[in-house]
Amino acid sequence: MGSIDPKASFPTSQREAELRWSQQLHRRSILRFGGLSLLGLSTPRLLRAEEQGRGTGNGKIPIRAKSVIFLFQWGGPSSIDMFDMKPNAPDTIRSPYKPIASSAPGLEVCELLPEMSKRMHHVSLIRTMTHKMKNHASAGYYALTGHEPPSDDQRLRDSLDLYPAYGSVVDRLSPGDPSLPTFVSYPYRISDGSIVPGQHASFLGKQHDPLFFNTDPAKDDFRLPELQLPSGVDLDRLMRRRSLQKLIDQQRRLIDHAESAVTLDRYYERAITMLQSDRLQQAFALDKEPAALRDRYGRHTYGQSCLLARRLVEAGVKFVTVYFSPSIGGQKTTEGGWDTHGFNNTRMYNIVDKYHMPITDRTLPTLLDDLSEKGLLDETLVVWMGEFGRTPKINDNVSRDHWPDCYTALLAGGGCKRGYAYGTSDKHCAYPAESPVRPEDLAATIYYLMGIDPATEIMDRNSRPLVIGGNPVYDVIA
Amino acid sequence: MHMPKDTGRWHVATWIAIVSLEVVFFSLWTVSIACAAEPLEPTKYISFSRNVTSALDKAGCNLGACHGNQRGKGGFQLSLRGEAPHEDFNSLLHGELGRRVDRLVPEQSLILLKGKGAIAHEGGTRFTESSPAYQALFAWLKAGAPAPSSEDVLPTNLQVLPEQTVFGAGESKVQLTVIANWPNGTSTDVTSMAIYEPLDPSIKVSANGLLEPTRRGTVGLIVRYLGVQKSLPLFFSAKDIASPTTTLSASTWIDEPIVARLASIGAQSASQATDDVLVRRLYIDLAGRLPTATEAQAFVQSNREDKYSELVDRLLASPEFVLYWTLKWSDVLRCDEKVLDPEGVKHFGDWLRQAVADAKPTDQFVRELLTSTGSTYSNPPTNFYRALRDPQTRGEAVARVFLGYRMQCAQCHNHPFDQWTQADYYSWASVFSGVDYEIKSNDRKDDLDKNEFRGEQIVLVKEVNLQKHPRNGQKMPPKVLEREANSLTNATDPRIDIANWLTANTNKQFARAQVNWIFFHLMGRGLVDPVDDFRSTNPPSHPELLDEMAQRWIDHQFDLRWMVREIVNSQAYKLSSTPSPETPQDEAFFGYRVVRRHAAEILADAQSDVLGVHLPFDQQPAGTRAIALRAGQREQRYLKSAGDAFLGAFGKPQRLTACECERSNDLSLSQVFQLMQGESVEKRIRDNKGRIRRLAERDEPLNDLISELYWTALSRPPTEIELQQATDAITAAGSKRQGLEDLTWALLNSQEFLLHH
Repeated sequence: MGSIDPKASFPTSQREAELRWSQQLHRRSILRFGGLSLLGLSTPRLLRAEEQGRGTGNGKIPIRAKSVIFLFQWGGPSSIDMFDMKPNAPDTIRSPYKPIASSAPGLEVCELLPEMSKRMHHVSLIRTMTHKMKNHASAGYYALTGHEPPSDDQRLRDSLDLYPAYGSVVDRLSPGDPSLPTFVSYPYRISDGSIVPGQHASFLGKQHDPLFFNTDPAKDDFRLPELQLPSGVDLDRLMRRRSLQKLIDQQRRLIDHAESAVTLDRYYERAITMLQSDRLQQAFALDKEPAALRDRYGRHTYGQSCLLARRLVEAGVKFVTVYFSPSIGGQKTTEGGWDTHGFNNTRMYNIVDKYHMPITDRTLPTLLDDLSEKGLLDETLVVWMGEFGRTPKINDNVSRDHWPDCYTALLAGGGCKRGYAYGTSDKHCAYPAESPVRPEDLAATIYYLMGIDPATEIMDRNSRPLVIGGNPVYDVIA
Repeated sequence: MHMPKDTGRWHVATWIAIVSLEVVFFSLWTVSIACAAEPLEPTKYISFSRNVTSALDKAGCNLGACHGNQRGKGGFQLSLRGEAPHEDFNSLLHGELGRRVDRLVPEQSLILLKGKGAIAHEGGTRFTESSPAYQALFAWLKAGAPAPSSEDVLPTNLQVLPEQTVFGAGESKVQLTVIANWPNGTSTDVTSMAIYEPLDPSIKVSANGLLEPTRRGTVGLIVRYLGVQKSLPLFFSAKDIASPTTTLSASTWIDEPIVARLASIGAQSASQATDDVLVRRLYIDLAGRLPTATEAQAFVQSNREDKYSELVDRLLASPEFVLYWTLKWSDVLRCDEKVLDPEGVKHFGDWLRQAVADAKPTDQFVRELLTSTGSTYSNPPTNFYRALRDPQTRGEAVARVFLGYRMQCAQCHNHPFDQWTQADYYSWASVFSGVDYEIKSNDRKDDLDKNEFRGEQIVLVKEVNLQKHPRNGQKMPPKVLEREANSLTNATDPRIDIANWLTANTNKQFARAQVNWIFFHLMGRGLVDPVDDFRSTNPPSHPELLDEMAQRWIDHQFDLRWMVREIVNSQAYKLSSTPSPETPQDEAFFGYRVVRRHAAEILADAQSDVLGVHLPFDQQPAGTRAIALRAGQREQRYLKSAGDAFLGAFGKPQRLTACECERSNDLSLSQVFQLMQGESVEKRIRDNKGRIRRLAERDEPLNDLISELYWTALSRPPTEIELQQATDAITAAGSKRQGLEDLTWALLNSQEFLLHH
């Protein structure tokens, strides 16, 4: 027997069977989720009917990733300086940093990522991410939803016409344990002048919004605000109030007939359960972690956010989005995102080497190790990416500007190949040389790994059926 | 018949005519026609539409998820649902090196091989050799694969048998027969080629039209064939419906059709709601607030025969009615601070209020909006155009808000569920293409935000800038939004023609859309639902009622208050939210009161009224009521106050889409957390200036205090057990005040308080 072709590790017959099934969904009888019905049938009833046929996935595509940790690198990290280095490019293009070999043969990474270089055997890179949005807001929305924005606008205005976040779609199509939120996002709302769309459930309805908080997991008194009772109200007093409330509800008995009353009651039950739930409280109790591990992640907002992500996944949360920074940043060595243009006489290579690279080389390897040690990496997909990459050409500020035409997304665990790179960029990392991947294709890949058919349609507020994803990159699936 | 050859699409006028004629023909065609219908024989008449379009449609090949996608699939693109047969013909004949169609050896055509799954096809097996779709394609190939021709006509209408729409308990399966009637008077039984699209997963339909409901109740089904579609609202009763109820009586003209429909399925409505429920309902719907304890008691305890209609009249005349109904208009007319700027919002908001206060007839109101020009400060209706920055957005908003049509689908392809074509869409947008702005000043808070305007603007009318049809690049002339489009006479400002056409007494659609919108706000659901989605495949639940309301409203000079009064005086409005055992669950029967969460503003004000402490709103004087806010929800980055945050969490719209649907009455977990332990609630419950402290300090019997709280929050007295348990709880609490706080919390978190019932 010869050596095993890594591409053949996914049995062809199974792949075909899955593919066929997914294509069958394309039929006109495709199940449509969400939004408003066509003939004015009551939506709740439709939902109920759908819910009956709904499990943790749709049962046909295997669930490879039970959970996803989406680490969003706001501002746009530079691929050519990190995971797709071009040592032979001219010095107007080439990174000032050198590539080093990694634990995955053939996958070199930046010399400033020595720890990451030892974990590349966990990783699948997609080196040919590409789109056309040059502004943060539009590109960010695209990256967070997998849906092309209506315009390339520096202040893309959020509206219910725009697409929901991945986690909201997951909550709609494949919700997790009802005693837990399906989708948690923190520790910031990201913005660039205005709040970036794509961070909530949009037209799917508020019930699919993430459990969002903007408190700092690195603070000693960190707790989920929702799980804190107002001062002067302990659990006993809350339960006394609750029993009075229940008594009132029993008088008119709206719950016997009204869908909205049933829903309301369910949320109260869920809220009370969450307040009492040891599991969720525990997930947020970062102080239960060994100090050494907390140190390994780094005692800062992002590091502790990544640790919290692991705890949430461990508890059973299906989709965790961690935003690297609230702003595009790029001008400081202490805070802010990856937007290193060299504005205001700053210099990219005096910033990323002091802030972005070290923080990345500390948190990401630690998260992969931690997930791996806990036996969670196989079933948890980690996605690390920004909204775009940066220009191949080094600008007059010895820095790089926005570049959506070709950039790298990093995937790990959750059923992805290990130590693998999909797609090849051209010699200057300017355009995909082959196999371009659009954000909707990456979205489809994420959904597919979670066992959700990427061809599923959800209805927007105009009753338009919209497919949730593009074409999965089957090739990165192990 | 006029055939617009230059549009490059297929028989626009024919298709338009079909839908309009359908109504006329339907009453003429009888079952005898059905008997005359010849069976479908794929080989008898070979035509592109009958053999190819319908077969690809039946097999699902030309849908949006497959080859009908804008980008096609696997290199093969078809027009969505076969709307452009010439394009489809070209891609069949010339794509894939001509292998899709093999005229010499038809069975070797890729279109057959892939479709039957003989060779790899991403889309799987679409048909078998014995299926009518395969046979139809095969016959067309054998005949030499002829191109679409002018004789290749569409049916004039579809007839679906049985005509019966209500089925009793015994009928567990129904075989449909679908007849296509052709322009030349012949008919064909197309049951096997028609497409059946259930709107509810609970009904199964075979490819050959055999219906099997898996539960009883209402189910919607769309039947379509070659671009003609028909919507069937079917009702499968759980009982024998041999004897419709005859004991029901209707009290008003509005009730007659509602009661008749209930009777037709042997059902009954809920009983009338009690006085305490009705007084609460009326205050909320007409004045946008809870009745005070005194007001509620006065109504409940009054013995006057006319107390209900007297209250209706009083509320209709109140300033709060003006505030609340202005709020509804402000949502859909996009009274939004970012585009109109705070001063524009003030001018526009005041103008809207004045219009409602003066009872300006809605037709006049709409004409003033549609034809407005001039300064957005000194001539406030121009703010309508200020918010709608491009011709397509204007066209979509006018169609949606004033006519109840959703045109969006037709931007990219012919509307798949409606009559509108892409040509209609761009002609309609052309009407509004002359609107332009002179920006006097623009002092943006955020220089980079193109969506923001601060400063005066002048709305101008310039020469129309004809919008291009994306498929063929043709410039589309302005025309009214009708099946048989009229050309417009006022070339310089087609908006004037449009305003006159739209609000004319003869334009029933305007009146239908408006009365439906009013009905929706009072009844919790429109006769057409969603309110801005009128289309052939979304028929009204009670068409005769909708038409009568529209006509009477026209006869009453488009008077908002008249329509509101008629609706709230109907029996249907007064029904309890508790259905009787004989009441159908389906809301569309209006057999019981629909229960929804209160709108954000209503809830915020109701909390404030109960607690006696206002919510603060940014840049508003203390004590401002939420329903009196002129602007839409602020962007998140500017949310500073507890009041704005509360309204945002409970779905006050930012007013970005000219759609009633932007306001959300959804419930969510985070809302419940806010109600349970949000600072804005808890803090105000304990506020030293609030009601609860004052109540706690009164030296009166506990029963009286509890009773007052109940009347204030729920518009009713406590029941005996509530009184007893509240007393126990207050006595057991750390203090009387703490106990009253707990009771208040329970009242504010009760379903009765949070839901409009």
